[in-house]
Amino acid sequence: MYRLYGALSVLGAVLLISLFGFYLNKTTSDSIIDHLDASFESAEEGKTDRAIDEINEAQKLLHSRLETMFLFVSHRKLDEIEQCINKSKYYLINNDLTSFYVYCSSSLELIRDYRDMEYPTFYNIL
Amino acid sequence: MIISVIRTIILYVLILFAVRMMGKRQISEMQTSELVITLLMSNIATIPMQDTEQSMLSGIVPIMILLVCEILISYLMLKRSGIRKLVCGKPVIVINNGIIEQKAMKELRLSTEDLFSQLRQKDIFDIAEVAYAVIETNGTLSVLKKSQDDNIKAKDLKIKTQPSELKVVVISDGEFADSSMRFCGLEKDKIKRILKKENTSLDEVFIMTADSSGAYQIIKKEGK
Repeated sequence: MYRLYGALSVLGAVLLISLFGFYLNKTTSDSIIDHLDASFESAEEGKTDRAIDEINEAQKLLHSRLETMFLFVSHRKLDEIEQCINKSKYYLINNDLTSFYVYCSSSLELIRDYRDMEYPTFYNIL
Repeated sequence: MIISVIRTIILYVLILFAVRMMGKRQISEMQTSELVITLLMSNIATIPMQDTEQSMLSGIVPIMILLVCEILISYLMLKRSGIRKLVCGKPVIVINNGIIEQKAMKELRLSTEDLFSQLRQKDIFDIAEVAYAVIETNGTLSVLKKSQDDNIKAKDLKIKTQPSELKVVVISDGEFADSSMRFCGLEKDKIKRILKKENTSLDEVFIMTADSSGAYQIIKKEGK
């Protein structure tokens, strides 16, 4: 009987870990998407300072949670997102808006993919 | 590289824990589903061991889920025979009252060579000796010999025998085995007295076995 209780405890622990991972990835990705969206729109409206602030916020948020997020997903995916955001910031600071739009869009696409891949949908499961 | 070393140690401990939780059955006694799950677990464990870019939890979580499923299924199989039949199948009689069940063998895809090979492993070289043979759910063959070909037992001859006593190792390589001592109701002092009577000491003993009736056997270390 202790095996069954042990198994149920393990199941509980695994579910908690998975839910925590899901919650962390979702909230972080949502916040980063909001900041990147705001940065993109601000750049379009010509508010470069605000765009830089927003991208800085996105970068800071990603940095602060990166290590915990590494626990749940492959390092490669997050490294790719981080590099893309860094490049967007670089082009934004150097006023190369065309390249900024390209990199910011791909950052948004990557982070949306990253967020969506954890949803337990029919397509993701299959 | 150091990350791989640490991860391997962690996963080794985890796999040991998982195998321990799954029970004590040996590979030959495992049900097919248990064997597949054991292989699957070891396969999953190798991924985060080798690929340090991969998160370790992505290996640990599936291993734990497989372990939980295995334990839950085995618990359900204990409680519900229907589930047991569904997961493990049921034993199939391949020799019934000395007659080979050809239809059953076809269904099992069991060749005559396989059947005879398994019979030979049970020291049966003549099929005429077999009354019943059953393929168990884990694929092993159980055989009931015809009564005239079976070994004679003491009770057949109505001979009175001594009750069997289980002998356990109470000293191994000069060290007491506490759980075995408890099993046969011996204490350290009593064993020391026996050793004194046998003119030997604890350090000189390679193996000492004893049973609950008080019988014992001492094998000394070589050169002592």
